[in-house]
Amino acid sequence: MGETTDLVIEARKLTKIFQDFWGRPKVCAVNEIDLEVRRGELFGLLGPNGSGKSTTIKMILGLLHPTTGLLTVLGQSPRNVAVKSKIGFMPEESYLYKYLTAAEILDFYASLYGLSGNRKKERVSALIAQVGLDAARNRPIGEFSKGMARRVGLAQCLLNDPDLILLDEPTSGLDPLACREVKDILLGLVRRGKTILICSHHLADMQDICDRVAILMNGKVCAEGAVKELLINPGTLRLSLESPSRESLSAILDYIEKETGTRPLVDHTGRTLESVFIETVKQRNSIP
Amino acid sequence: MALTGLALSELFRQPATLLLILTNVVCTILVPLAVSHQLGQQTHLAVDSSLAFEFVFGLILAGYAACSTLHNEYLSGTILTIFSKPVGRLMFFLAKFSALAVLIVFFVFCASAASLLAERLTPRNFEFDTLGMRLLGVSLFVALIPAAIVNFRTRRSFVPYSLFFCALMLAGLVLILSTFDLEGHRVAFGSMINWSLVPACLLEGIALLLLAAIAISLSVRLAAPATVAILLVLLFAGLVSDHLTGLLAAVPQAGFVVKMILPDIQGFWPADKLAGGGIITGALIGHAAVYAAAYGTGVLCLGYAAFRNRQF
Repeated sequence: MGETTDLVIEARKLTKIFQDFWGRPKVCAVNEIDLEVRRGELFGLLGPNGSGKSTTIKMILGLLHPTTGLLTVLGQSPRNVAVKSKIGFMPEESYLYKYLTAAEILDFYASLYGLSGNRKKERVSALIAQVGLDAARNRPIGEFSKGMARRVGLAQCLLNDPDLILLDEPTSGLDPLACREVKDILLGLVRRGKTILICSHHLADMQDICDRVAILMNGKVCAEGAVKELLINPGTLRLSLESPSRESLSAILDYIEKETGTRPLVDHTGRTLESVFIETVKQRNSIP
Repeated sequence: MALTGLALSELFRQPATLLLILTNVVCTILVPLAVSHQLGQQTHLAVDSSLAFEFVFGLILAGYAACSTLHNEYLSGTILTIFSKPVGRLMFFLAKFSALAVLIVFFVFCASAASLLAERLTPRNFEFDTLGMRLLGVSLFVALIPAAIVNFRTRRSFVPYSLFFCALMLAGLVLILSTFDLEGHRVAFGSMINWSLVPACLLEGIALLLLAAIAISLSVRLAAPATVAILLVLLFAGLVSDHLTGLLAAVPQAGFVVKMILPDIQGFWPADKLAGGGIITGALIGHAAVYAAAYGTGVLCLGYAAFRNRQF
C-alpha cells in the first residue's frame, strides 16, 4: 500500500496512436509502455528522435489523450485540471510570449496558479534571482538568447513549488556553466522531496543526475532501471591508486597478472571536459 | 482575468489590428471626397459606404484577430505551457472570446466616430466642410506622434498607444465638430452631427460580435485565411438568406434549416432601415441583441465542443 501511494506517475499498457483525418491509425507513437516514477526520484526518459518521449510527457500533462491504457499522475487522471496545480512543466522549446519581459511573463503564469499580491511578487523575484536573470528581468523575451529563454522556462515551471516537475530537454541551449547550475537546482529540488521526470538527449547530463532511467525506442521501453545498475559492466573492476611509485605499481601489476593470468590496463584517471571548463571559467572570473 | 488581459494586450499589439482599424477610418472619412462630384444623394452614399466599410473591415478584423489569439497559440506552442497550468479549457476559450469582443467594441467605437465625421464632412450643394477637413487631416498624423514618443522614450509597443491616441483623437474631433458649423461658428452642441448613425453603428457592432463568436469557434480548427473566407461567405449568404429561403419555398423543411443555420445578417444591416429618413429604434436593437446572444451562444458551444477534445 505504501509503495502504491509513493507512485507519482503510473502508466500501464499506455498506448498512443495518432490518427489521420478519417480516423484511421497513422502512427503508433507510444506502444503499451509501463512506467513507474516514485516520489522523490529523478527519472530520465531517454531515446532517439521520434521514440515517443515528448508524446509520453504530453499524455502525462493531459495535452494528449491515451488511445488505450491506464495513466495516473499524483493518483489522479492527467485530464483533471486541479492536479496541474502540483505540476511544473518546462517544454522542449521555450514557448513564451516574446513581447513580454521575464518579470511580466512570470507574473502572468503566477496569476494562473492563483498567486497574487506580495506572495506573487516575492515568488517571481526569488525565481528570477535563482535562475540568474536579475539583470535582464525587464527585457522582452524576444531579445533573449536561447539559454536565457530556457532559464525563464525553468523559472515558470517552478512558480507553484510543484511536487512533480516535467522537463523536456532542460539543458538544451545552455552553456556548461548554466547547465551545471540547472543540474544543481534540480538536485536541490530532489533533496527537498520533489519528483522530477526529464526527457533529454544529453546522456552525460542524465548520467550525472538521474536516479533511474528508461530508454524508449519506437514507442516501447527497451531498458529501465537505476543508472548505477545499468552502467555496471559485469566482470570488470576499476582500481584507483593515488600517485604510486613506479616500483610499487610494477609490483602490483605483476601480482595481479600472476593471480588472474591477465595484465591489467593502466591509465590516468580522466577528468570530464565539463569539470575542466567550469574550473577554467571560475578561475578566470576570480581574476580581478 | 489574467488570460483575458494577456489576450487583449496581444491583440492590441498586432500591427494588423492598427492597419485594419486605421484603413477603415481613412476609407470612411475619404468617402465624402469621392462623393463631392454631385452624383446625387451624397449623404446617403456616404452613410451607406461608411456602414459597409465597418461591416467588411470589422469582419476581417474579427477573423484575423480570432486566429491570432487562439490558433496562433497552437502554432507558437504557448498553449502547451498554458495548459500545463491549472487552466480549464472553457475558461481559456471564453477568455479569448472576451478579449476579441473587447477589440470589436473598440473597433466599433472608432468606426462609429469615423462614420459620424464622414456624414458631417459630406459636401452639401458644393459646400465643403473646410474646418472639419483641416482638423481631420492634421489630427490623424498628430495622433501617431505621442505613440511614437512613448515608443522612443520607453520602448513600449507603438501599436497599442497609437490605437489609443487615434480613438481619443476621433472622439475629440466628433465633440469639437459637433459644436461648430461649416463656417466655424459656434452652434448648439450636437446640432451639426447626425446622431441617428450611432444606433446604426451599434446594430452593426452587435452583428460583428456575432461574427466574432463564429470566428473564434472556427479558429479552433482553422487558420486565418480559411476563417476569414468562411466569414465572408457567411456574411453574403446571411445578407441574402431571405432570398435563399424563398428559392427553397418548394421544400419548406430545407428552407427552415437554411434559415436556422445562416446568421440573419439582413436583420443587422442598418442602411435599408435608415433610407428615407428611417430610424433605428431601441426595440430593433434589443431584438437584434437577443438574436445575436442566442445565435452566438450556440456557436460558442459548438466551438467549445471542438476545442474541449483538441489535442496538442
